[in-house]
Amino acid sequence: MASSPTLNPLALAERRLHWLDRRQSVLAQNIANADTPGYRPHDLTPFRRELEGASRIALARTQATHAAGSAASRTNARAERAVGEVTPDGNAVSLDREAMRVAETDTAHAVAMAIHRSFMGMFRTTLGR
Amino acid sequence: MDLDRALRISAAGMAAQSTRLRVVAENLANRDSTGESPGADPYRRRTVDFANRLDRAIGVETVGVARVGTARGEFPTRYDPGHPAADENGYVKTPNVDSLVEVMDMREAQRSYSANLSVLETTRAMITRAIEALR
Repeated sequence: MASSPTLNPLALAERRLHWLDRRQSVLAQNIANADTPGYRPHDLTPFRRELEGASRIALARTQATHAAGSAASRTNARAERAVGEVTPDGNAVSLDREAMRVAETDTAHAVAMAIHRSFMGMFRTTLGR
Repeated sequence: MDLDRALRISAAGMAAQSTRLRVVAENLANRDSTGESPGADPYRRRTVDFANRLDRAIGVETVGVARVGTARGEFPTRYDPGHPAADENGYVKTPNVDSLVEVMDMREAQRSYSANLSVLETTRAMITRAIEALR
């Protein structure tokens, strides 16, 4: 049971951190494009959904020289369908909504980091440091 | 690293808004630049086009200035027969720069610039937190 990646707190915190890193990059892109004509805001698939699909098929690496398939991690940032108001030039980025998400990501990052840190603390205690 | 990419995207956004602010300054500075010969066209207002494009160096889409164009439209005229650029009827063409439009553009650029800056600060805080975990 403990070997399951989704139940190991450290592995889970790491996955969450990775997801939050990617999300921050997507949100930065949305805000940078707040004045680009025709731009639609993007977002990642929710973390829960991503965990459910954890066992999805990745590109096989039969040789050490093969590049890791980054396609799987890049493609799940998609344009949102439900957008608020759209400006006359077709831009649908709402700065306050994005700012709220950035704050959300920041808080979640702090939480995941704290979990990671306290579990590492337990390892340190075991090692007697 | 994705946070590093986020920093670069925000920086690209800030650079694009700075270009926009520079063009606004150019337009406002040339608000009274008329032509030199009779009937000549005065300064034409410049515009900035933004585009979302792929930055191959970091492998993500960032924002950039697609081109700096010029605004179409009629030039307003002013009656001033003694002016060197006055036509045979005594009218001088003045630039199609509207101060109000420029000021609004400037405000919007400023707002977007600070939005990018605050994302940059948040991203930095996240990176700092991750580094502190190493201690």
